[in-house]
Amino acid sequence: MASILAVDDSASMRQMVSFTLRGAGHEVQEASDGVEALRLANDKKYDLVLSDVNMPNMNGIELVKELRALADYKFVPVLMLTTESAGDMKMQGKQAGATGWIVKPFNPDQLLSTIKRVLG
Amino acid sequence: MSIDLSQFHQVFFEESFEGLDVMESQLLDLTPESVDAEAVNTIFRAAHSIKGGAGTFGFMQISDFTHVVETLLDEIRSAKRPMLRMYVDLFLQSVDCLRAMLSSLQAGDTPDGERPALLKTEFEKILAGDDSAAPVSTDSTVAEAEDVSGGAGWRIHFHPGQDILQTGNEPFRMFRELQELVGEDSLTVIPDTSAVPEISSLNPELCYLNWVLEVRKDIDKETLASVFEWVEDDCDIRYEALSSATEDADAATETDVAAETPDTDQPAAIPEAVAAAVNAAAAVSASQAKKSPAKNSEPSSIRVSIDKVDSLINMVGELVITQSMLGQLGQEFDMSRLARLQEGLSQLEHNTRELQESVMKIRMMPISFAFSRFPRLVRDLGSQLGKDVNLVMLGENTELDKTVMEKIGDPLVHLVRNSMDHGLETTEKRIAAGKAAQGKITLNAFHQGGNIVIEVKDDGAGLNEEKILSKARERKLVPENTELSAEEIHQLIFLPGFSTSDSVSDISGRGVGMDVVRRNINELNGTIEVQSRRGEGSTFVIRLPLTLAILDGQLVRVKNETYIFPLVSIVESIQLQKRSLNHITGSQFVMKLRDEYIPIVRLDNLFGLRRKEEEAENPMLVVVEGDNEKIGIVVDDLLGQQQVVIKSLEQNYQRVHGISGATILGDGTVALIIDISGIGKTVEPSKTTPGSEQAA
Amino acid sequence: MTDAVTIQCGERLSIEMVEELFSRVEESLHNSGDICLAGNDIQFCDTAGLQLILSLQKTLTKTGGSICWQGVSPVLTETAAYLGLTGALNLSEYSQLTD
Repeated sequence: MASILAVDDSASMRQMVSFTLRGAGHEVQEASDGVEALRLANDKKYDLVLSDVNMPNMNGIELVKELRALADYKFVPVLMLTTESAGDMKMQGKQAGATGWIVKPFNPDQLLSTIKRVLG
Repeated sequence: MSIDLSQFHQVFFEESFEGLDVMESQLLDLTPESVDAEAVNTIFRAAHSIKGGAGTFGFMQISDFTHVVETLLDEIRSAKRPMLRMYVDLFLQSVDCLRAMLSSLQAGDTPDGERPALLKTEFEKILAGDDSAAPVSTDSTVAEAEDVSGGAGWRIHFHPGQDILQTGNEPFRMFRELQELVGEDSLTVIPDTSAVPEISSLNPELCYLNWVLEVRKDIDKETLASVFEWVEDDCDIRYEALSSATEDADAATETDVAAETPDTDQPAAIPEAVAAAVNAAAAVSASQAKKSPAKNSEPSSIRVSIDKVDSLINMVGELVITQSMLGQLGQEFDMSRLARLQEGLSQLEHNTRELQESVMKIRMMPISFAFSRFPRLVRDLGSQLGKDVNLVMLGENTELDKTVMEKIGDPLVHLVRNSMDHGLETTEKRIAAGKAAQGKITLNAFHQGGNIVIEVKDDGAGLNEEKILSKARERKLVPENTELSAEEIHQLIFLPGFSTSDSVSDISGRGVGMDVVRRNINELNGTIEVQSRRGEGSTFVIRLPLTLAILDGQLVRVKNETYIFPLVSIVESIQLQKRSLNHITGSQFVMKLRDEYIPIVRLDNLFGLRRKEEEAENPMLVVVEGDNEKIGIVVDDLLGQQQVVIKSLEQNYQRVHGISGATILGDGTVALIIDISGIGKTVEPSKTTPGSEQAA
Repeated sequence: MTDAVTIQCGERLSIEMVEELFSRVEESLHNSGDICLAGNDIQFCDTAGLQLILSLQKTLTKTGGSICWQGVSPVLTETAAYLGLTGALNLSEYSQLTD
């Protein structure tokens, strides 16, 4: 199955996301902010990046921009986990190069059905 | 796939409490006049995470309430409105409110709904007062809302933007999702390849294909559109109803829209969302109440950085290597290998010590966890007392054991309350005394030897010796006509039943006196003393062991038994001079040591170690201090000093008076650890001393 | 006219590989009129990959040449079917076999 990088500063969200994804057979690496995620992404090419928007050190928008600048991540799907249902944050994410978004709160089933849009 | 989300609740609670602490401390540091954007961002982020987590884990009351908090914060963050003092107060109240709600949820209770409702109304009033609030949804779908259902289906003209493929959006996956939505037989995909150029002018990363998608199914447009939601801004997508679209459109809309669209910012969806939230919250609290009959049994946990765990694993690895090396050596041992054995053993000792230190480090946390509550407390108390107080905290990164930290919180609160209430003068009195109008309280923590020292210092009036002494005499705590030094008088405030407050105030006169503070600290094997100067202020100095799991002990021998005294409580050890023993009140031995008489306790009598033989030739007297009371304890011999690991006697056997625990010595024997305060209590009512029949 | 050239599509006929495949395709155009594609190894393909084949086909048609498939993987026919490109890519006969 796919290897997925899950980025969120909230440990409970991270655990929920990775537990759900692992349960579906994916391989998940967790990161607690953009800086850590970027470091991990440099070491290995993941099939999908799921990232929170509001994080310390490096937020999700900056992370997408940085990822898109890496040759390996030019086309890799990046989904933002966002509570901003207003269009603003979505637009920012899109402009930075994000593939799409998942609006929080979401449940495990929604997560799994959403990532099907970018995997397989 | 069904996943039990309750397994993540504990982590959610912990991080939410941490988030609230962050919000609180940032709010307290905030000066509304010159707001630090990063601070507001941090506060926003904390609220945001709590809301997100709460929504995910089904705590709708929390996410509902946090939503308004977050909205106001967002408006401040994006400079739509200034930060006002009243907002700060409101946010602080929200922090308290959320903390209470989370605590009851954690305990499996239903949170009180009244307070959040009131606060929420406050927020809504503020938010409604601004025209720029309530952003109007400009979703293109709203404009065409009347055209939401295609009776016989839809023809979708899908003209992707050329860049669509570059961000990972993939038409075949969208069509696959569409097919899953409506069924394979109801979807026809018709490509338009006319725009695809020849190789010579092809940019292979751009998308030149267009499609027409025919959906032959009665499905509402919203659902179809959700497939394209990530790309709708970059693509040209047109929906054409396959038959008369308007007939019975209404019926189809409401059910499906509510069920399928996650968007709750659509005005129409809000009532349903609220209703769902209420139901969900009710369901959650009901299920939690059932699930957790033992409310307070939540295991407490420590977050440990991966680095610390890795280094532990590393050390265990080394230990295993040493062990296997020694094992091999043991199988074919002869004297020629003695040197290697000794080397191996010293390696083992090294490994063990490192491992012990690392494990202890895991339990160590910075004292800022205990200090963090004080800015708020001082702020609230200051306004309650009408005193302007500046709180200074030093050494916040000083580490101590988590268990000690948990137990030192309450005594510290009491000391700070006491300093604010009794220590600091009113502003008028300060000005009259020529001092700065603003009072100052300093919390300072640092390591000294194997101890952590915590100071609570105020620049107030200092202790009033006359008042203390007269009160002590009044209460018969001190005999009339005894002369006491200022130092000695200061220590009187720790005596049970002592309180100098003229009127019992709301702040510190709650019947909990300094004696309780001292007892709590003694229970942690710590000490407290006070230094004070009239007109300049007082300093309370708390000394605590860094950990409760390990004790610096003095080993002593009494008859055939080995006992351990906490090193921290030993004042001095002297040769026992039989002739300097005095007999008072028929039962209790005392000894004159320099200027004072100290009661003497014989451990062999106390613990019933009777033996007919002669007294030890040179018995020693260990003078210890517990509860500010000196006692001399007679032992046969002083052995070495060493760190011992404390094992609970209560857990393994039962509570024994005069013994605080046990430990296992190097040779495998068990030694009991003396409870100095406990022993001290046996001598205070001297007439009923256990050892009396022996002394007679 | 020389014999048909065979192009190996590899395991991934997708956007991150199209640049590389694109240059190989360009190369082969100089040599031959007919091009055969070996698609039996394809584990993943996407719009960009299939679009490149379409473009190649267009180019060849103009000069009287054509493409033929030398082996087709199930993933290839499946993805082409989702995109409605089965006919355009001459995959009709294979899609029935692998269905």
